[in-house]
Amino acid sequence: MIQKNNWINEYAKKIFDITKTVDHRTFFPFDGFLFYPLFDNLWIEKFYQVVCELENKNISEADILKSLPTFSSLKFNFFEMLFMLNDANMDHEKSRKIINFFLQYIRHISVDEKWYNHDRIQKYINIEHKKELAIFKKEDAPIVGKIICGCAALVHGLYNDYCTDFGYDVFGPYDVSKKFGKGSELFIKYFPDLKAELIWPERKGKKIDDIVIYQVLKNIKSKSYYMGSHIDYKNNIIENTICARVDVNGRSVKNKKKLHEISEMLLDDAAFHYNMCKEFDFEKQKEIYLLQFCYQFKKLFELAGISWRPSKEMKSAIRGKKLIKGSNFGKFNYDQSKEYFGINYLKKVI
Amino acid sequence: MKKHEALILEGIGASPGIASGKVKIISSYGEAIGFRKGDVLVAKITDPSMVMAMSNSAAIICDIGGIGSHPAIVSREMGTPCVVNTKKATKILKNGDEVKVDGKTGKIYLLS
Repeated sequence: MIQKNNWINEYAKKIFDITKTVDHRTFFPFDGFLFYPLFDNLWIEKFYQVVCELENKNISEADILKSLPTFSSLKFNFFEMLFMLNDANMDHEKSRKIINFFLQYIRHISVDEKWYNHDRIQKYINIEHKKELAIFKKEDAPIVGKIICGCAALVHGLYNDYCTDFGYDVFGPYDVSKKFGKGSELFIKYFPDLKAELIWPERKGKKIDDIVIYQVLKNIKSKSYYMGSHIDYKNNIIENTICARVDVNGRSVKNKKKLHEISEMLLDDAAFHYNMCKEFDFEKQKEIYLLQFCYQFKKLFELAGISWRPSKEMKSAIRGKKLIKGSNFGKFNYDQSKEYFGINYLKKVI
Repeated sequence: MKKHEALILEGIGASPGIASGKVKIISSYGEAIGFRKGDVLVAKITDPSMVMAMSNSAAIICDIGGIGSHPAIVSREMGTPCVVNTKKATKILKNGDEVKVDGKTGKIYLLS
């Protein structure tokens, strides 16, 4: 068992690393950390009720695991929750219960206790033995890349900058050198909800629900930054592809023509959807953000018998309000980062 | 004949690879529609409404952004060289300029 302060310090460094890779001027529709203080006390209370209800109803760990968002989304929500608990200066007893809930399930899903350092999860280990991976070859890598680009762009609009991980996770790398040669690794790019019709009713009827892409890459030298989608490669991914497989709605795509059609459809959908989002006024952007934020825990809240939708009080708390001022996201030094993102608070609470 | 290369800009190398092409500055969804395959996309920052142009670009250059920002994440997945945080690409470069982009070192050269 890692000592308390050790893992918190390592977590703090990881958070400092990831926040340095982003530029707060690029966040769309706005910097979420300037928005959360408008309603964080209400969200915390609602989340606390859910945790208590799950306990009161004796809901099993297995059922809770099935109802959680993607692993990266869960981790990012933990990061946001710490910020909120600190900002709202929440009662320590309640905070401890919420924090322990996140930690319990994050650790359960991850391979080991260093969950803050990588994105390997139990679920996909040994996947290489279960799937035929070499459907598409190196020369098809640009089209596979376009599909990933299309999906990533689409979820960016469906779930905004701060909830993207709900729609996009990356697992790996897994060593597949025994099958594909020295230096080969498997990466899994997972897009679990490409419709999001409860947020965007106009998307009802879209054909693609989910996409999973398996890529075997060689000597890519990757580095993960806390969330799966924030992965960096030292070498060019297209030049270093060995093979790939693309599953759409659970079925493997078998030919290049179909692959091309899917990539064009996704790119078009993503551009159209995002352009629509850019035209919303500020009130609409806040309203949609709140819905996107709450939607991430839809299944968990339903398991507890509590509505996942923003409450009347939450809606009222953001209506007509400006964002708070003063973020230096990405420009903090290490100590400022620990204070701003609630890591000092975490040390006090647990 | 090899063209002369002059270093014109520097930023953060966000997606490895080297590519050359003509500059096309984009600031909106509408401008992205007319983008020609093989051009170098230059923007203050890209967003998903420009994704069609991004998928056809030889390279991407942005004024702002980090290695975890939208252009960086998307360009790495397509293997498209990308440089972010140049601070002034949209001011210095002009439509039609021929440039070489090194997505590893973050250097951009004007070709003549």
